[in-house]
Amino acid sequence: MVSGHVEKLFSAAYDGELSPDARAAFDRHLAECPACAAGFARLTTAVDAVHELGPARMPRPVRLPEGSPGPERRFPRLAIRLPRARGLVAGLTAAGMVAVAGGVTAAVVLTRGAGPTRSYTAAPALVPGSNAGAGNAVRAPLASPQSASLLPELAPLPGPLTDCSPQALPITRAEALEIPTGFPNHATEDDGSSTGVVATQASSFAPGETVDIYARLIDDSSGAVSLPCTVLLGPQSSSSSPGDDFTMAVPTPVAGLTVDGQPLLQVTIPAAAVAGQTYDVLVNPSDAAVILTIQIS
Amino acid sequence: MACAAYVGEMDDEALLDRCRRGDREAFTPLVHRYQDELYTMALRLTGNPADAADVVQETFTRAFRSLPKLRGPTVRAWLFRVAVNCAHDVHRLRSRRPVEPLEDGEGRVLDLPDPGLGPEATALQRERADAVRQALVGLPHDFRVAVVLRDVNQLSYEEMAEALSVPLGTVKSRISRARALLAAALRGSAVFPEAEEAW
Repeated sequence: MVSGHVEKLFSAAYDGELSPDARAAFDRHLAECPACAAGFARLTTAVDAVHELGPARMPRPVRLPEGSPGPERRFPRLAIRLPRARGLVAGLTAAGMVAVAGGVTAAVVLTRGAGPTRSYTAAPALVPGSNAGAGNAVRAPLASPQSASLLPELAPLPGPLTDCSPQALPITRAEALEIPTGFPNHATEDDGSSTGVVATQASSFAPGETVDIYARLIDDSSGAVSLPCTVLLGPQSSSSSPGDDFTMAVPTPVAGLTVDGQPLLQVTIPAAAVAGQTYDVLVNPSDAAVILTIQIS
Repeated sequence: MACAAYVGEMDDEALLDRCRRGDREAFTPLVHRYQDELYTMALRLTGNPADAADVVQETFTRAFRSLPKLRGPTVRAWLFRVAVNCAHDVHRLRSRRPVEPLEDGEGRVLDLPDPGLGPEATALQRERADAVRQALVGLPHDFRVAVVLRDVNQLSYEEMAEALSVPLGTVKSRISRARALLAAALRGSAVFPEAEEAW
Protein backbone atom coordinates (compact mmCIF):
# COMPACT_ATOMS: atom_id res chain seq x y z
CA MET A 1 0.00 0.00 0.00
CA VAL A 2 1.26 3.45 -0.85
CA SER A 3 0.49 5.78 2.01
CA GLY A 4 2.33 9.08 1.65
CA HIS A 5 5.91 9.34 0.39
CA VAL A 6 9.16 8.55 2.15
CA GLU A 7 11.59 11.18 0.81
CA LYS A 8 12.58 12.09 4.35
CA LEU A 9 13.95 8.61 4.83
CA PHE A 10 16.08 8.59 1.67
CA SER A 11 19.20 9.90 3.34
CA ALA A 12 18.99 7.62 6.39
CA ALA A 13 18.25 4.67 4.10
CA TYR A 14 21.29 5.50 1.97
CA ASP A 15 23.46 5.56 5.10
CA GLY A 16 21.99 2.30 6.37
CA GLU A 17 20.64 4.05 9.42
CA LEU A 18 17.14 2.58 9.32
CA SER A 19 16.29 -0.22 11.69
CA PRO A 20 15.59 -3.59 10.01
CA ASP A 21 11.86 -3.13 10.43
CA ALA A 22 11.94 0.41 9.12
CA ARG A 23 14.10 -0.63 6.19
CA ALA A 24 11.70 -3.45 5.31
CA ALA A 25 8.78 -1.01 5.37
CA PHE A 26 10.80 1.45 3.29
CA ASP A 27 11.58 -1.17 0.67
CA ARG A 28 7.95 -2.29 0.56
CA HIS A 29 6.95 1.30 -0.08
CA LEU A 30 9.46 1.73 -2.88
CA ALA A 31 8.18 -1.44 -4.50
CA GLU A 32 4.72 0.05 -4.65
CA CYS A 33 5.55 3.73 -5.27
CA PRO A 34 7.37 4.55 -8.54
CA ALA A 35 7.86 8.20 -7.54
CA CYS A 36 9.70 7.32 -4.34
CA ALA A 37 11.64 4.56 -6.06
CA ALA A 38 12.82 7.01 -8.73
CA GLY A 39 13.60 9.65 -6.10
CA PHE A 40 15.66 7.25 -4.03
CA ALA A 41 17.50 6.08 -7.15
CA ARG A 42 18.33 9.68 -8.05
CA LEU A 43 19.62 10.45 -4.58
CA THR A 44 21.69 7.29 -4.57
CA THR A 45 23.18 8.12 -7.96
CA ALA A 46 23.94 11.69 -6.93
CA VAL A 47 25.63 10.74 -3.66
CA ASP A 48 27.54 7.94 -5.34
CA ALA A 49 28.80 10.52 -7.84
CA VAL A 50 30.13 12.62 -4.95
CA HIS A 51 31.95 9.59 -3.60
CA GLU A 52 33.50 9.06 -7.03
CA LEU A 53 35.29 12.40 -6.83
CA GLY A 54 37.81 10.75 -4.56
CA PRO A 55 40.56 12.35 -2.50
CA ALA A 56 42.83 15.20 -3.56
CA ARG A 57 46.33 15.91 -2.36
CA MET A 58 47.52 19.11 -0.73
CA PRO A 59 49.59 20.66 -3.52
CA ARG A 60 52.09 22.60 -1.43
CA PRO A 61 53.82 22.13 1.91
CA VAL A 62 52.19 23.58 4.99
CA ARG A 63 54.35 26.23 6.62
CA LEU A 64 54.11 26.41 10.38
CA PRO A 65 54.68 29.54 12.46
CA GLU A 66 57.95 29.91 14.31
CA GLY A 67 58.28 28.77 17.87
CA SER A 68 56.24 26.34 19.87
CA PRO A 69 52.57 25.42 19.49
CA GLY A 70 50.53 27.91 21.43
CA PRO A 71 49.36 31.50 21.37
CA GLU A 72 51.37 33.98 19.40
CA ARG A 73 53.83 35.92 21.50
CA ARG A 74 53.73 39.65 21.66
CA PHE A 75 57.47 39.82 21.20
CA PRO A 76 58.22 38.03 17.97
CA ARG A 77 61.96 38.55 18.22
CA LEU A 78 62.08 35.67 20.67
CA ALA A 79 60.10 32.66 19.67
CA ILE A 80 59.76 30.67 22.82
CA ARG A 81 60.35 27.00 22.93
CA LEU A 82 60.13 25.13 26.16
CA PRO A 83 63.45 24.07 27.54
CA ARG A 84 64.21 20.44 27.98
CA ALA A 85 63.58 19.93 31.65
CA ARG A 86 66.24 17.31 32.13
CA GLY A 87 69.04 19.37 30.67
CA LEU A 88 68.01 22.52 32.41
CA VAL A 89 67.70 20.99 35.83
CA ALA A 90 70.93 19.11 35.39
CA GLY A 91 72.67 22.32 34.46
CA LEU A 92 71.29 24.11 37.42
CA THR A 93 72.23 21.32 39.78
CA ALA A 94 75.77 21.38 38.57
CA ALA A 95 76.26 25.09 38.56
CA GLY A 96 73.70 26.65 40.76
CA MET A 97 74.46 25.73 44.33
CA VAL A 98 72.98 28.45 46.42
CA ALA A 99 73.56 29.33 50.01
CA VAL A 100 71.63 31.66 52.20
CA ALA A 101 74.33 33.93 53.47
CA GLY A 102 72.42 35.89 56.03
CA GLY A 103 69.28 35.52 58.03
CA VAL A 104 68.34 39.15 57.88
CA THR A 105 64.97 39.92 56.43
CA ALA A 106 64.29 43.48 55.55
CA ALA A 107 60.72 44.66 55.65
CA VAL A 108 59.64 47.48 53.41
CA VAL A 109 56.23 49.07 53.37
CA LEU A 110 55.20 50.69 50.12
CA THR A 111 52.32 53.07 49.80
CA ARG A 112 50.64 53.61 46.46
CA GLY A 113 48.83 56.94 46.28
CA ALA A 114 45.31 56.67 47.59
CA GLY A 115 45.24 52.99 46.91
CA PRO A 116 45.74 50.15 49.30
CA THR A 117 48.95 49.81 51.18
CA ARG A 118 51.02 47.05 49.70
CA SER A 119 53.56 45.54 51.97
CA TYR A 120 56.64 44.29 50.24
CA THR A 121 58.77 42.06 52.37
CA ALA A 122 62.17 41.22 51.01
CA ALA A 123 63.64 37.77 51.33
CA PRO A 124 67.03 36.88 52.71
CA ALA A 125 69.73 37.73 50.25
CA LEU A 126 70.75 34.84 48.09
CA VAL A 127 74.40 34.55 47.27
CA PRO A 128 75.68 32.38 44.50
CA GLY A 129 77.82 29.46 45.52
CA SER A 130 81.22 28.45 44.25
CA ASN A 131 79.98 27.94 40.70
CA ALA A 132 78.48 31.30 40.91
CA GLY A 133 75.54 32.62 39.12
CA ALA A 134 74.12 30.06 36.78
CA GLY A 135 70.91 29.96 38.74
CA ASN A 136 69.28 29.94 42.08
CA ALA A 137 67.05 26.96 41.72
CA VAL A 138 68.45 23.77 43.10
CA ARG A 139 66.91 20.38 43.44
CA ALA A 140 68.17 17.35 45.29
CA PRO A 141 70.59 15.69 45.43
CA LEU A 142 72.42 18.55 47.00
CA ALA A 143 76.16 18.66 47.22
CA SER A 144 76.36 18.10 50.94
CA PRO A 145 74.21 17.91 54.05
CA GLN A 146 75.52 21.32 54.98
CA SER A 147 74.29 22.95 51.83
CA ALA A 148 71.00 21.13 52.19
CA SER A 149 70.54 22.62 55.60
CA LEU A 150 71.05 26.04 54.13
CA LEU A 151 68.10 25.64 51.83
CA PRO A 152 65.15 24.87 54.04
CA GLU A 153 62.94 27.45 52.45
CA LEU A 154 63.26 26.33 48.86
CA ALA A 155 60.48 24.01 47.85
CA PRO A 156 61.40 21.26 45.40
CA LEU A 157 60.71 21.78 41.74
CA PRO A 158 57.26 20.51 40.87
CA GLY A 159 58.38 17.74 38.57
CA PRO A 160 59.27 18.35 34.93
CA LEU A 161 59.11 22.02 34.14
CA THR A 162 56.47 21.67 31.51
CA ASP A 163 54.17 19.80 33.88
CA CYS A 164 54.18 22.24 36.74
CA SER A 165 50.90 23.85 37.68
CA PRO A 166 50.68 27.49 38.62
CA GLN A 167 49.77 28.02 42.27
CA ALA A 168 46.30 29.50 42.83
CA LEU A 169 46.26 32.82 44.66
CA PRO A 170 43.30 34.17 46.64
CA ILE A 171 43.24 37.57 44.99
CA THR A 172 41.06 39.18 42.35
CA ARG A 173 41.97 39.99 38.78
CA ALA A 174 42.01 43.72 39.59
CA GLU A 175 44.34 43.14 42.50
CA ALA A 176 46.61 41.02 40.36
CA LEU A 177 46.85 43.71 37.72
CA GLU A 178 47.72 46.35 40.29
CA ILE A 179 51.47 46.42 39.91
CA PRO A 180 53.18 47.08 43.25
CA THR A 181 54.70 50.55 43.47
CA GLY A 182 58.15 49.19 43.90
CA PHE A 183 58.02 47.34 40.57
CA PRO A 184 57.97 49.98 37.84
CA ASN A 185 59.51 47.78 35.15
CA HIS A 186 56.60 45.67 34.03
CA ALA A 187 54.98 43.95 31.06
CA THR A 188 51.58 42.43 30.43
CA GLU A 189 50.61 39.81 27.91
CA ASP A 190 47.05 38.95 26.94
CA ASP A 191 46.75 36.01 24.54
CA GLY A 192 42.98 36.08 24.40
CA SER A 193 42.32 33.44 27.00
CA SER A 194 44.67 34.40 29.77
CA THR A 195 46.58 37.43 30.90
CA GLY A 196 50.05 37.42 32.34
CA VAL A 197 51.85 40.19 34.13
CA VAL A 198 55.45 40.40 35.27
CA ALA A 199 57.29 43.22 37.00
CA THR A 200 60.66 43.93 38.52
CA GLN A 201 61.88 46.65 40.81
CA ALA A 202 64.31 48.06 38.28
CA SER A 203 65.16 47.66 34.64
CA SER A 204 68.88 47.28 35.22
CA PHE A 205 70.65 44.70 37.36
CA ALA A 206 74.23 43.74 38.01
CA PRO A 207 75.63 40.23 37.52
CA GLY A 208 74.99 38.16 40.63
CA GLU A 209 72.25 40.48 41.79
CA THR A 210 69.01 38.96 43.01
CA VAL A 211 65.86 40.05 41.22
CA ASP A 212 62.52 39.94 42.97
CA ILE A 213 59.76 39.30 40.48
CA TYR A 214 56.09 40.11 40.71
CA ALA A 215 54.33 37.68 38.37
CA ARG A 216 50.70 36.74 38.05
CA LEU A 217 48.65 34.69 35.61
CA ILE A 218 44.95 35.39 35.17
CA ASP A 219 42.48 33.03 33.53
CA ASP A 220 40.35 35.45 31.53
CA SER A 221 37.29 33.21 31.55
CA SER A 222 37.17 32.52 35.26
CA GLY A 223 39.20 35.45 36.60
CA ALA A 224 41.24 33.03 38.68
CA VAL A 225 44.69 34.31 39.56
CA SER A 226 47.75 32.15 39.99
CA LEU A 227 51.45 32.40 40.58
CA PRO A 228 53.42 31.18 37.57
CA CYS A 229 55.51 28.14 38.24
CA THR A 230 58.29 28.90 35.81
CA VAL A 231 60.49 31.92 35.37
CA LEU A 232 63.41 31.80 32.98
CA LEU A 233 66.14 34.35 32.67
CA GLY A 234 68.64 34.60 29.89
CA PRO A 235 70.31 36.75 27.28
CA GLN A 236 68.02 38.04 24.60
CA SER A 237 68.53 36.29 21.32
CA SER A 238 66.80 35.36 18.14
CA SER A 239 67.16 31.71 18.98
CA SER A 240 64.04 29.61 18.89
CA SER A 241 64.90 28.06 22.19
CA PRO A 242 66.24 29.33 25.48
CA GLY A 243 69.68 27.87 25.65
CA ASP A 244 71.82 26.51 28.41
CA ASP A 245 72.63 30.05 29.41
CA PHE A 246 69.09 30.49 30.65
CA THR A 247 68.48 30.06 34.34
CA MET A 248 65.28 29.34 36.15
CA ALA A 249 63.76 31.12 39.09
CA VAL A 250 62.63 29.39 42.22
CA PRO A 251 59.28 28.15 41.01
CA THR A 252 57.56 28.34 44.36
CA PRO A 253 57.45 31.28 46.73
CA VAL A 254 60.54 32.22 48.60
CA ALA A 255 59.65 32.37 52.27
CA GLY A 256 59.56 35.92 53.52
CA LEU A 257 59.33 37.42 50.04
CA THR A 258 55.86 38.78 49.62
CA VAL A 259 53.80 41.69 48.42
CA ASP A 260 50.59 42.24 50.37
CA GLY A 261 51.13 38.87 51.91
CA GLN A 262 51.22 37.23 48.48
CA PRO A 263 54.28 35.47 47.14
CA LEU A 264 56.89 36.81 44.79
CA LEU A 265 59.40 34.87 42.74
CA GLN A 266 63.11 35.39 42.66
CA VAL A 267 65.97 34.83 40.29
CA THR A 268 69.65 35.71 40.32
CA ILE A 269 71.41 37.38 37.43
CA PRO A 270 74.15 34.99 36.33
CA ALA A 271 77.65 36.08 37.28
CA ALA A 272 78.62 35.45 33.69
CA ALA A 273 76.27 38.16 32.47
CA VAL A 274 78.10 40.99 30.79
CA ALA A 275 77.39 44.65 31.36
CA GLY A 276 75.48 46.09 28.46
CA GLN A 277 73.71 42.83 27.62
CA THR A 278 69.95 42.72 27.34
CA TYR A 279 68.26 39.90 29.19
CA ASP A 280 64.77 38.49 28.90
CA VAL A 281 62.73 37.43 31.88
CA LEU A 282 60.32 34.76 30.61
CA VAL A 283 57.41 33.91 32.82
CA ASN A 284 55.57 30.64 32.35
CA PRO A 285 56.56 29.94 28.76
CA SER A 286 53.98 27.19 28.43
CA ASP A 287 50.97 29.41 29.04
CA ALA A 288 50.42 33.12 28.49
CA ALA A 289 54.13 33.74 28.31
CA VAL A 290 55.24 37.17 29.35
CA ILE A 291 58.62 38.55 28.46
CA LEU A 292 60.16 41.42 30.35
CA THR A 293 63.38 42.99 29.21
CA ILE A 294 66.10 44.01 31.64
CA GLN A 295 69.56 45.41 31.15
CA ILE A 296 72.76 44.14 32.69
CA SER A 297 74.69 46.94 34.33
CA MET B 1 65.60 9.72 12.98
CA ALA B 2 64.23 7.16 15.38
CA CYS B 3 62.73 9.79 17.62
CA ALA B 4 60.86 11.42 14.75
CA ALA B 5 59.50 8.08 13.61
CA TYR B 6 58.29 7.39 17.10
CA VAL B 7 56.51 10.73 17.32
CA GLY B 8 54.94 10.08 13.94
CA GLU B 9 53.41 6.87 15.20
CA MET B 10 51.75 8.46 18.20
CA ASP B 11 47.99 8.81 18.25
CA ASP B 12 46.37 12.21 18.09
CA GLU B 13 45.89 12.55 21.82
CA ALA B 14 49.51 11.75 22.57
CA LEU B 15 50.64 14.29 19.98
CA LEU B 16 48.23 16.86 21.40
CA ASP B 17 49.66 16.27 24.84
CA ARG B 18 53.16 16.92 23.54
CA CYS B 19 51.98 20.04 21.71
CA ARG B 20 50.62 21.31 25.01
CA ARG B 21 54.10 20.89 26.41
CA GLY B 22 55.45 23.11 23.66
CA ASP B 23 56.87 20.32 21.51
CA ARG B 24 56.94 21.72 17.99
CA GLU B 25 57.95 18.38 16.49
CA ALA B 26 54.73 16.79 17.72
CA PHE B 27 52.69 19.08 15.49
CA THR B 28 54.21 17.93 12.21
CA PRO B 29 52.68 14.42 12.24
CA LEU B 30 49.26 16.03 12.66
CA VAL B 31 49.90 18.04 9.51
CA HIS B 32 50.96 14.97 7.56
CA ARG B 33 48.01 13.01 8.90
CA TYR B 34 45.29 15.49 8.03
CA GLN B 35 46.49 17.86 5.32
CA ASP B 36 45.12 15.84 2.39
CA GLU B 37 41.78 15.17 4.07
CA LEU B 38 41.39 18.84 4.87
CA TYR B 39 42.52 19.87 1.41
CA THR B 40 39.98 17.54 -0.18
CA MET B 41 37.26 19.03 1.99
CA ALA B 42 38.34 22.59 1.26
CA LEU B 43 38.57 21.88 -2.47
CA ARG B 44 35.00 20.59 -2.54
CA LEU B 45 33.78 23.49 -0.46
CA THR B 46 35.51 26.26 -2.38
CA GLY B 47 35.81 24.68 -5.81
CA ASN B 48 39.15 26.37 -6.18
CA PRO B 49 42.52 24.65 -5.60
CA ALA B 50 44.39 27.81 -4.64
CA ASP B 51 41.70 28.80 -2.15
CA ALA B 52 41.62 25.26 -0.79
CA ALA B 53 45.38 25.25 -0.21
CA ASP B 54 45.04 28.62 1.55
CA VAL B 55 42.32 27.15 3.74
CA VAL B 56 44.55 24.26 4.77
CA GLN B 57 47.48 26.56 5.45
CA GLU B 58 45.32 28.87 7.55
CA THR B 59 43.75 25.92 9.36
CA PHE B 60 47.10 24.63 10.52
CA THR B 61 48.31 28.11 11.41
CA ARG B 62 45.27 28.61 13.61
CA ALA B 63 45.61 25.11 15.00
CA PHE B 64 49.25 25.72 15.84
CA ARG B 65 48.20 28.68 17.94
CA SER B 66 45.11 27.19 19.52
CA LEU B 67 45.48 23.41 19.56
CA PRO B 68 47.38 23.29 22.85
CA LYS B 69 44.31 24.73 24.55
CA LEU B 70 41.95 22.24 22.92
CA ARG B 71 39.52 20.67 25.33
CA GLY B 72 36.63 18.43 24.35
CA PRO B 73 36.38 17.44 20.72
CA THR B 74 38.77 15.06 19.05
CA VAL B 75 41.69 16.56 17.17
CA ARG B 76 40.22 15.39 13.85
CA ALA B 77 36.79 16.85 14.47
CA TRP B 78 38.31 20.07 15.76
CA LEU B 79 40.57 20.44 12.70
CA PHE B 80 37.56 20.00 10.46
CA ARG B 81 35.74 22.67 12.46
CA VAL B 82 38.59 25.11 12.00
CA ALA B 83 38.87 24.27 8.31
CA VAL B 84 35.14 24.76 7.75
CA ASN B 85 35.37 28.17 9.39
CA CYS B 86 38.41 29.07 7.30
CA ALA B 87 36.66 27.97 4.13
CA HIS B 88 33.67 30.08 5.08
CA ASP B 89 35.94 33.07 5.60
CA VAL B 90 37.58 32.53 2.23
CA HIS B 91 34.19 32.26 0.61
CA ARG B 92 33.03 35.52 2.20
CA LEU B 93 36.19 37.52 1.69
CA ARG B 94 36.97 36.64 -1.90
CA SER B 95 34.93 37.15 -4.95
CA ARG B 96 33.53 33.95 -6.29
CA ARG B 97 36.15 32.23 -8.34
CA PRO B 98 35.26 29.80 -11.04
CA VAL B 99 35.32 26.13 -10.24
CA GLU B 100 38.58 24.85 -11.62
CA PRO B 101 38.26 21.25 -12.61
CA LEU B 102 40.98 18.65 -12.76
CA GLU B 103 44.01 20.75 -11.95
CA ASP B 104 45.35 22.10 -8.75
CA GLY B 105 46.99 25.49 -8.39
CA GLU B 106 50.29 24.19 -9.67
CA GLY B 107 49.05 22.43 -12.73
CA ARG B 108 48.86 18.93 -11.36
CA VAL B 109 45.89 16.88 -12.34
CA LEU B 110 43.33 16.06 -9.71
CA ASP B 111 40.54 13.51 -9.87
CA LEU B 112 42.42 11.37 -12.34
CA PRO B 113 40.10 9.43 -14.60
CA ASP B 114 40.20 5.69 -14.46
CA PRO B 115 43.09 4.69 -16.77
CA GLY B 116 41.17 1.59 -17.84
CA LEU B 117 38.43 3.66 -19.48
CA GLY B 118 38.32 4.45 -23.16
CA PRO B 119 38.38 8.04 -24.45
CA GLU B 120 34.61 8.34 -24.54
CA ALA B 121 34.10 6.93 -21.06
CA THR B 122 36.93 9.09 -19.75
CA ALA B 123 35.30 12.17 -21.20
CA LEU B 124 32.00 11.21 -19.63
CA GLN B 125 33.63 10.60 -16.28
CA ARG B 126 35.23 14.04 -16.39
CA GLU B 127 31.95 15.58 -17.35
CA ARG B 128 30.24 13.87 -14.43
CA ALA B 129 32.94 15.02 -12.03
CA ASP B 130 32.67 18.60 -13.28
CA ALA B 131 28.92 18.51 -12.84
CA VAL B 132 29.22 17.26 -9.27
CA ARG B 133 31.83 19.89 -8.41
CA GLN B 134 29.65 22.65 -9.81
CA ALA B 135 26.61 21.32 -7.98
CA LEU B 136 28.47 21.15 -4.68
CA VAL B 137 29.74 24.71 -4.92
CA GLY B 138 26.25 25.89 -5.76
CA LEU B 139 24.71 24.52 -2.56
CA PRO B 140 24.02 26.89 0.35
CA HIS B 141 26.95 26.92 2.77
CA ASP B 142 25.52 24.79 5.59
CA PHE B 143 24.26 22.14 3.20
CA ARG B 144 27.46 22.15 1.18
CA VAL B 145 29.42 21.59 4.38
CA ALA B 146 27.08 18.80 5.42
CA VAL B 147 27.32 16.84 2.21
CA VAL B 148 31.07 17.36 1.87
CA LEU B 149 31.87 16.24 5.42
CA ARG B 150 29.61 13.25 5.08
CA ASP B 151 30.05 12.13 1.49
CA VAL B 152 33.49 13.41 0.61
CA ASN B 153 35.30 13.05 3.92
CA GLN B 154 32.99 10.36 5.26
CA LEU B 155 32.77 11.71 8.78
CA SER B 156 30.34 9.92 11.05
CA TYR B 157 27.26 11.74 12.24
CA GLU B 158 28.88 12.05 15.65
CA GLU B 159 32.09 13.50 14.25
CA MET B 160 30.07 15.99 12.25
CA ALA B 161 28.13 17.03 15.34
CA GLU B 162 31.46 17.65 17.06
CA ALA B 163 32.99 19.44 14.11
CA LEU B 164 29.99 21.67 13.51
CA SER B 165 28.96 22.12 17.16
CA VAL B 166 25.38 21.23 16.35
CA PRO B 167 23.07 18.49 17.69
CA LEU B 168 22.98 15.10 16.02
CA GLY B 169 19.45 15.71 14.77
CA THR B 170 20.59 18.87 13.01
CA VAL B 171 23.40 16.94 11.35
CA LYS B 172 21.00 14.33 10.01
CA SER B 173 18.47 16.85 8.75
CA ARG B 174 21.17 18.91 7.03
CA ILE B 175 22.62 15.86 5.31
CA SER B 176 19.17 14.80 4.18
CA ARG B 177 18.30 18.24 2.85
CA ALA B 178 21.73 18.69 1.27
CA ARG B 179 21.52 15.41 -0.63
CA ALA B 180 18.06 16.25 -1.89
CA LEU B 181 19.31 19.65 -3.11
CA LEU B 182 22.33 18.02 -4.69
CA ALA B 183 20.22 15.50 -6.57
CA ALA B 184 17.99 18.32 -7.78
CA ALA B 185 21.02 20.40 -8.82
CA LEU B 186 22.31 17.52 -10.91
CA ARG B 187 19.13 17.29 -12.95
CA GLY B 188 19.95 17.21 -16.60
CA SER B 189 23.68 16.89 -15.96
CA ALA B 190 26.04 14.19 -17.11
CA VAL B 191 25.31 12.37 -13.86
CA PHE B 192 21.81 11.52 -15.16
CA PRO B 193 22.26 11.46 -18.93
CA GLU B 194 19.63 8.88 -19.70
CA ALA B 195 16.95 9.76 -17.15
CA GLU B 196 16.04 13.25 -18.27
CA GLU B 197 12.50 12.42 -19.22
CA ALA B 198 11.83 10.78 -15.86
CA TRP B 199 12.29 14.13 -14.10
